[in-house]
Amino acid sequence: MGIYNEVFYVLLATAVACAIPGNFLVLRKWSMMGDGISHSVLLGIVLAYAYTHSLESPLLLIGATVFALLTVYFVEWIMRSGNTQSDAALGISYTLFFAIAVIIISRYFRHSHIDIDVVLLGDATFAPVRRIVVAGISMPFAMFQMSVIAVLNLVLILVFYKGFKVSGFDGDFSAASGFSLLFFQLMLMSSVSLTTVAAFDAVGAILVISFLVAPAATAYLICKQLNHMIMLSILITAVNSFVGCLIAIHFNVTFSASVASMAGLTFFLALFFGREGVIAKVLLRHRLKRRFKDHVLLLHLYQKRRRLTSEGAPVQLSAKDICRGLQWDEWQYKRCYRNLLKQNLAVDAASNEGLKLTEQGLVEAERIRESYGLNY
Amino acid sequence: MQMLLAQLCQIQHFIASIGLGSSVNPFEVFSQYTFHIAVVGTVILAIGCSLIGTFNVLKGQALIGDAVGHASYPGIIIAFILVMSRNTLLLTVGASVAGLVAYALIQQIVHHSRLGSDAAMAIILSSFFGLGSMLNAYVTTSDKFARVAQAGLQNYVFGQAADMLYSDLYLIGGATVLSLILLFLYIKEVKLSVFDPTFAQTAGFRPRLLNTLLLVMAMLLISQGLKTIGVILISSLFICPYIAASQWTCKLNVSLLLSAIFAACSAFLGTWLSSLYNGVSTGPAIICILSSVALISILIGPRGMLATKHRQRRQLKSELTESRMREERA
Repeated sequence: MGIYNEVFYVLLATAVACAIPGNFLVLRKWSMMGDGISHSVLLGIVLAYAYTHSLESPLLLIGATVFALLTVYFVEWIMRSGNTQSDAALGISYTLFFAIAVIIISRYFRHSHIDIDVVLLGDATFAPVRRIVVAGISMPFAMFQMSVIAVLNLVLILVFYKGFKVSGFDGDFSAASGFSLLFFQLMLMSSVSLTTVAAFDAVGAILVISFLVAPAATAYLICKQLNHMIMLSILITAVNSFVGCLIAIHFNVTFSASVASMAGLTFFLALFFGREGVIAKVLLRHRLKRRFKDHVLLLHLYQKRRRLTSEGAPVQLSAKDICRGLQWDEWQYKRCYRNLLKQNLAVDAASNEGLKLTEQGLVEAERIRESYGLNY
Repeated sequence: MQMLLAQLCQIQHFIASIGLGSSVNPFEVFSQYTFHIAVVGTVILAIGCSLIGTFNVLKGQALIGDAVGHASYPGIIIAFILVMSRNTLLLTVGASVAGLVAYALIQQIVHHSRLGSDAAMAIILSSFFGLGSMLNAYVTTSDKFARVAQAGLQNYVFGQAADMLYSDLYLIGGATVLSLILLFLYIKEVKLSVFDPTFAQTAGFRPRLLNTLLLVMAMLLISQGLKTIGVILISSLFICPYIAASQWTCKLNVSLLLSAIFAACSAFLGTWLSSLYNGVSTGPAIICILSSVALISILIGPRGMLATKHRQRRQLKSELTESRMREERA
């Protein structure tokens, strides 16, 4: 990657810092709230920039965090007013802030550092230009900032792990067992907004939601424990950033955009090929269907086993009889026929590919009848 | 007195310095051809969106429009790459296809995993938008597309009504009329399935079919709105009018009428302001006004916040006096 090494490190630090609080957004089912916050943060940044005319002032962080919390408060406030649902309330408040911010940018800052493209997608390419010397090593400022925030997020999660866990899974239970729901919500929202603001330079205001939610959701598909999920989400986001960076360099496209598309891709890979993924589900359903057909054939044989011909001899069921009785195709029957023979549940009847139950088959058929609740 | 005048002068200077004063005469634009086209287009679109949006919000699907709107961005770019022209019709077809794919994917994610619809929407929204921006960056930097004018593609993000052509009016009008005809043909069924899906199903209507119908109507309008409002803010055009209207009335018919009026007025004002001030995109301008209308309605509407508080206080008061009277009697 050569000269792009540092860009990759900046993206990686950003991605890791975002993935940590993202886990709790997904658990809390607040992903769209994260989206709303990342949009409305823009107004805080723009107003602070208008006041200070520098992108490096800490006032930007403060302004953005204020607007993020304001959005959360706004949504609560609109919902409490009565007849508005939470998603509609969110839809009103963040679009208002975002629209005002876009108007201010496009009207007053047309030729300055904040530009609409950067707002949307960030600009990781120029991130290494601003540098800082830490412990004798010169590194990109964005990388230093994002690493600090990643560590902060991690410490926050570790210190309040139990509280975050309980309030993430079950808000009512956490409130009942003495964890202040409001406190943890506020902490989560502050963490999300701080991370969003810091990530603004590298990934912009719109795509940051991908960095927040996608790795955590991917890990959620795979893991069954919260600590595994957090660790896996960090791993996934690292892989996404690496591959996304390679793609971006190769095709000369925006870094954040290609990482976001990669995040979507890994999510779908997990959705398809995961342990409980789509493919596993389809396979399982297919296997169940085949087993059910075996059972149907077995029960059919069981029901007809005592039937006698007019001479008093037991009826030999032919393949054709069975197919007609069950309304099956020939090939369907053939498959189940082979399965039953293989499992020793039935033997070939005298002629024309018919079947007869063995002793073992009889026992099995009764067991199946019982398990389906048919032996009344 | 003089001090007051000096103050006024200062305020005037301040306003001039931040550029609020327009260099154009505000009423001059009324005679401009491009303004006529933009206003007619946005107003028709806003009316259509507000009516369909009412049902989307009532169904609790307010943010789906947001996700689908963002997700249609790559559709526009892919359509552009395939046909190498900026024909509005082809680009909007691409947008609709991408939006429908996104909607289907969201449904599948919710169906096949433990994730909530919010996470599904967030992922689809961001990854599709990321894909769109990636392709857009590729198109703008690649030599292959240098000969084809691609400068207008960026306008689909925030919308630029000034770009509208006369032929776009036909498209917007066609999409709006088509979706409104569909809506009015099936309004009884849609109403039923929105307010009581279980009863609708037992009565023999198919809620999933009606849901798809609503979505197709919304998708038609979203794809037409991308050029004027942009992919990011189009969802507000569906949400805000009904939220504003529902603060004034609890009757569906009245609120449909009110939301259409709110939307149309905001679209007119927004387009006007955006054509007055250089650099103000139409989408954000319209949405700014529209969400302000919604917020003000929430505050002062008869079913809004202050009224509810007042009603609660009155109720408390009457209960208090009642209990006092009872005590006295006892």
